[in-house]
Amino acid sequence: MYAHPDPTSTVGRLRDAVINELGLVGHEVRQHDLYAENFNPVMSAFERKNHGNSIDTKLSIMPELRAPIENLRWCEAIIFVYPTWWSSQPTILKGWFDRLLVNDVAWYLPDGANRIRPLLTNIRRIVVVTTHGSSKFINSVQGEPGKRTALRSVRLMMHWRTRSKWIAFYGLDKKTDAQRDEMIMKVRRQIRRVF
Amino acid sequence: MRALIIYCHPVHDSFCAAMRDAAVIGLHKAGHHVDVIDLAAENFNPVMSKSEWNNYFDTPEVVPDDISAHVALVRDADTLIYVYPTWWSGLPAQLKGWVERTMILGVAFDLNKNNKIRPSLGRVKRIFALSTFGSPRLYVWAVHNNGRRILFRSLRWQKKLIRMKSMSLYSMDTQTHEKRQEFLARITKKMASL
Repeated sequence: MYAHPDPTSTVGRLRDAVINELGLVGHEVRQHDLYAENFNPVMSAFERKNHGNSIDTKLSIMPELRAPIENLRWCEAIIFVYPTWWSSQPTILKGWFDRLLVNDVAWYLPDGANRIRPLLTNIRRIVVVTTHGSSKFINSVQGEPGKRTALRSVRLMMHWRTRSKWIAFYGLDKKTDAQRDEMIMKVRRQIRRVF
Repeated sequence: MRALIIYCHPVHDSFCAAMRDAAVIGLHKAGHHVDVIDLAAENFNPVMSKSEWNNYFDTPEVVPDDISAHVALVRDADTLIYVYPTWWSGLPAQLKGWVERTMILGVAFDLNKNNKIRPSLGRVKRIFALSTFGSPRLYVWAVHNNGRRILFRSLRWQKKLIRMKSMSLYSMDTQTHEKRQEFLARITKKMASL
């Protein structure tokens, strides 16, 4: 899952490195480039009103959700690559959570239960590759909301033994080109180690 | 006092709309000026474009047409009140996008003489977050209340400390009618006391 408006940015290069490295290891990779797909992150009134209903109701008028849902059910590992803006995921990715992680896809509510149960149990690994403009200290003080959203809130919809990996680069605003090249090498090493 | 309500919910007769109305009633009672931004009704586009991203630090004076009115409202306001449902422990995408696109250099923060980002929200003295949660309080606490953190923590340390206050209704789906009305009354009372 990749979300950045500019493919030539550092985040774009990190994405290329991740895909390349996964290919070298021999894994099958599918990608959603949310900006390139022109994904609409805004949940509509119709979707909100059918929040608890079966997914078929939504798919009948939003066929564009079919492919991402199929990919969610297909994958064994999910990798998010995005820049951290306002200490969390960019809107286009947050909206992807809002619209795709719904009843029948990410969770279900058994009859008589008052607590949702996870459905994305095919996913056993979650990896986040992200960049922060500000320093690690500032982000710690702010509580890393993006990290908690991905690795707690979203991860809880996956298998209970899903392992997570947080690959973050802080202080991007002050990084030189050489340091950015080093970031690309580092993400390659980390991906190779995880997979 | 000038209050700016930023309201975000796709359904126009949702409980969040009732929370917004309760806040407006309270603020009017106290004689304050109130502006309301209704993101869903405006069909606000929350996605930061490539040109906006490329010009983020270079030409902050160039404000896209669809947010220039919002920027003016933020500059005039001394209280910001966010009204939204919490989804995936964060802000709904449309509201997150409003923060990304409107709270830009020169509006929400400035660069100091060392070119470091320093929050600087003009005249704003208080920020409120009024939100509903599907999950119980303990679950929200365990996954971290990330939406509120985004709104509060990154803007708190300014020249003058901004006062933050949140009012939350947890376990939305199982709340009784009386509890909900009680929550609305609490909002009105709080706003009237400002």
